[in-house]
Amino acid sequence: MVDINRYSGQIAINDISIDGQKRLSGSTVAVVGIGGNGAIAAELFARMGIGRIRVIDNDSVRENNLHRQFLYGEDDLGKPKVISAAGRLKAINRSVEVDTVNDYLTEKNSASLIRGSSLVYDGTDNFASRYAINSACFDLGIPFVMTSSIQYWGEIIPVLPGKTACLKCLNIPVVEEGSCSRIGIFPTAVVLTAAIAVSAAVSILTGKLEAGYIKIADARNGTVETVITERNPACPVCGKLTYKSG
Amino acid sequence: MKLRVRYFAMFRDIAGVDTLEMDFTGRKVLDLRKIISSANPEFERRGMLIAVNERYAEDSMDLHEGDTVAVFPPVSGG
Ligand SMILES: [Zn+2]
Repeated sequence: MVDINRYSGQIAINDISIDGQKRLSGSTVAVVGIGGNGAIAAELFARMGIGRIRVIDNDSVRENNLHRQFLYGEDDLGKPKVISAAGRLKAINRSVEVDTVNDYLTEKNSASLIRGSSLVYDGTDNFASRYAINSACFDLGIPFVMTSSIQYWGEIIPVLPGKTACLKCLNIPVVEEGSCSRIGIFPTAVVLTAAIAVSAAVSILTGKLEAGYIKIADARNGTVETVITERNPACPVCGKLTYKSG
Repeated sequence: MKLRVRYFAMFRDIAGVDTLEMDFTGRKVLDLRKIISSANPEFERRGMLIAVNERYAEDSMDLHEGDTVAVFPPVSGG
């Protein structure tokens, strides 16, 4: 049952409509990493009425998170992010089921943590986790949206297994720049990145994503560049996959 | 051949320029990658992704007169 009044603002949009809203409320989204990008995304998913949200993180809230990480305030300092996040998400929308996993995603546990989800939102801050998500999502046939941000910039890559290019197709090098607190991260960058990435997630959940891309967001100038991507038939992760819709 | 080269994200700050016109004497994306990374040694360290005419490009791809090439880093934080 869709709460037509509560979601009237988004149901009124043609390419959501009642059908899209039903799909959203029937979806389970796993948010891996509920820091800058992930916390904003989790809040948006709760507000738009995603049926079940699984928040996965092993961090506790620190003071230097508060300038950019939605869902947390001063009362949450020192608490596990998943606990604070779940409380806030339920306060925003009681009808959303929230599962908490107080653990980091690794190559070993990735499949068990994301199994059963309709989509994975990658809010992690390193390429080791991203590649673990990439492989597990391909093994399980689960779409995901990669997000990353640093300073004023963000990148977003939505991946539909067997249909659009995966991270290995693009051969994105594993370059770790160090923590956000050291390199710097401006709060508007995570808001812009999450806004674009959640829209991409919705386009996947409502069956509307047609082509792969990388979006490069610049929160200082307010610009977003799009680079179209194509699958690499020789990709070691997804080269042999074909897409099954639904 | 003449190329238009655009830098995205922090490459703009590192190079100190958004867009430049280049007289390119090479043939492939790899040739251009070498020229750009020798002028900006930090690019290769951060990882250089390249798009030609708004499509993701591999090093083996041929470049053509008038192409617009975008050069950007993989962003890694969260
Ligand atoms: Zn692939």
